[in-house]
Amino acid sequence: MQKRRKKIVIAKPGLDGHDRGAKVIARALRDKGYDVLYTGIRKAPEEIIRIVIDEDADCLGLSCLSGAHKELFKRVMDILKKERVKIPVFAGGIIPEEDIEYLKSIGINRVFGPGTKTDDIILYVDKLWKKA
Amino acid sequence: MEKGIIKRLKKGDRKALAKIITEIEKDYNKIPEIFKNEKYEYPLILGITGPPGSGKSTLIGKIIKHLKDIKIAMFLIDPSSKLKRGAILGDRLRIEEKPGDTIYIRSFSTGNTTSGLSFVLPAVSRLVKLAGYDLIFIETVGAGQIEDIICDFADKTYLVIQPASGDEIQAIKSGIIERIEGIIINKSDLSGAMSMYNIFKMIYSDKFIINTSAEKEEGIDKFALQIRNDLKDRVKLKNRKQRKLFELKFYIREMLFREIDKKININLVEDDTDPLITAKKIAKHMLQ
Repeated sequence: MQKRRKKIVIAKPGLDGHDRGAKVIARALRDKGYDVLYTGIRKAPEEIIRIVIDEDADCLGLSCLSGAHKELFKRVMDILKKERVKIPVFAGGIIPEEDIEYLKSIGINRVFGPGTKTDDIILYVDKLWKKA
Repeated sequence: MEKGIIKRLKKGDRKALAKIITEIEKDYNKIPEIFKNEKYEYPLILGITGPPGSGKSTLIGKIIKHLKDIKIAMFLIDPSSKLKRGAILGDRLRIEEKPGDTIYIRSFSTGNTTSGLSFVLPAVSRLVKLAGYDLIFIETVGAGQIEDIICDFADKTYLVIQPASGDEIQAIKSGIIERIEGIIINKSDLSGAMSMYNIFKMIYSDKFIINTSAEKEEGIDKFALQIRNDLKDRVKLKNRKQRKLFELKFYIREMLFREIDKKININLVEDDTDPLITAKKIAKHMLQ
């Protein structure tokens, strides 16, 4: 029987409705053999964490193109911490270089800005469980 | 497995429930161990099936707020890739849940079962019963004519279709339609919805048939009422023996299918023998 695949939640917090990128990443990860749950657009951080907990996700990818990433991602990370969920979180979208340090400081494992190649994200995700 | 996690599960702890499901997904052999000291019990199981895009997820997503007083679990199944083995789990995004709702939702990939159900589905159904859930909705992969294993597993199954999906001849064909409890003609804001209703009502006068528009939230209350009746109507539920028989057949079928997939290869093809003769020989051997 096929055993559980690693489950990755790709989420779009906040009011931004642009999800072409999120869908491309979701499909690329599927093609690498992951079970990818896409949350759809306009999710509250609370809703995203509920999904992560119910589904017992192995990894969370956040996408934001609206510019509100600092506030939204912070809220997501705060709730994750409160709920004691310890999974790797990566982020992508229109994120300026100068914000990366801040996002890493709140616990985001890796940030992918504009111009990122899909392969880079795949490579990053593939490596997440190799160490363990 | 974490100590005391079953105890937490029984108190209705969602995190414990989520973690145990993962444990089972990782190692099926844990199933008997988990239930060793537990009663063999299932909640009411309602199957939701129908072609891809007919609105199954949206429909059950809209029903939550009509059934707030009931502890519901939803299992959403999407296909695994036969080529790359991954899956897009894309049902949950259509479901409106609010933080604080008691509902528990979990997405599954088929993992290439021949049934199109997840191999752990019977076990996780019993798990949510332990956690105090009274009702499970199981949304199948997109399906339509003969994929009726959900009718064997669920207590009752509803078929969700959309307008203009066929004439009378389609409606009288053999298959899943004979075995379901009701037909939901969703997207009934589109044209052809009423004639679809009339066709089905004429042929299946004893079945529950309604028009809904999940998107516009029309007819959802009628479906919710039907579900409340299903909850009361305990007589028709599958009993313990039937449930165990289903599990037995289900597991054996999946295990054999896996064996066939693995072991029947090009080396078994015989040049000068009819494939049917070879097949009979191998099948006899396998079942010994």
